Amino acid sequence: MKKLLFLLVSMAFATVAMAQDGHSGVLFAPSIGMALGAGLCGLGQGKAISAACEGIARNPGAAGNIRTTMIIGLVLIESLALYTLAVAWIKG
Amino acid sequence: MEIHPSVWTKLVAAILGVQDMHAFAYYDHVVAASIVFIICLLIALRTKTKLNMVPGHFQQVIEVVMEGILGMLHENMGARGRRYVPIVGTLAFFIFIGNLLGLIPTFSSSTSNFNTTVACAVIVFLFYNFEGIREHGFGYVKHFMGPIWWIAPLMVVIEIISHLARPFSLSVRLFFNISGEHIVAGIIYGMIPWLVPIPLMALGLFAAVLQTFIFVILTTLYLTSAIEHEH
Repeated sequence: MKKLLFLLVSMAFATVAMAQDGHSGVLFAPSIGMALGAGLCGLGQGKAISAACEGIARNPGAAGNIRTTMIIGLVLIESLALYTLAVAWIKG
Repeated sequence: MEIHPSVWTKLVAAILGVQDMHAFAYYDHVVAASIVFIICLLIALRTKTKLNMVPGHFQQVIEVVMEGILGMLHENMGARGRRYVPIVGTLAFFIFIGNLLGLIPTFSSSTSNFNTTVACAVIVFLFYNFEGIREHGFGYVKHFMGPIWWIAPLMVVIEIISHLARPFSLSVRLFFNISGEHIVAGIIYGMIPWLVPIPLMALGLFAAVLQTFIFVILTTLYLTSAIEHEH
């Protein structure tokens, strides 16, 4: 119920914003795209971090190597979200 | 998009006697990069002139940073890593100070402009290819061919695309991380100007360190993959 209410309120705000602005789709698309990109990127990064944590917990001696590899992996995942941001930026 | 020049850009414009402030605002990042350059120069001079066997506070900090860079290069390339300390260290200092400068009021980040990050990334791209060619000569082409000869036509296309994506992703990553942080902090500041932006600025501090580290370590990895020999 709470979620539904939140959705309704956000939709109402969006409608107000759309009414003020002539081209509604242009306003909407970058934010939805960015939300999807950020959310899915977060899921992927969460998986990577949890695997790295398990690895470090099992073998604390390899923590340094695992951390470096994890950071590089996270960066490569994160750049996908940043590409979305780039597109949203250009089109928004 | 409207660009708001920093106070220092306005100052430079006033010193140079520029009338058209609107056009000069586009050179905000150049002014910021110049400030970064001057700070780097001062750090280098300060370290060089007061070099001591018993390091003071300042020298100790610089030594930790340089040892970190050297250790990272050594870990990846072995003894040959020492040759690449100048370029990797320069990039590290330039990007790090550029990132940090944006967190100080009245300054703006040089790295929150696409031109600066593209310049850094293109230098890295050209340099690692140059080093690869210097190391292997014509044999550098083999890096693009893949393991088996008949798969080469496919691999060459894929490798070229992936190599071209490297400077692109390097520059886009740095630019959007820094400027995105600024935009979010600005929006939050617009909503609640008191106390709330402070954690975001702390996050910006963390991002400044992390992005520098990432830029440097990716540069190292690209250099390593360019000069390594196939087994």
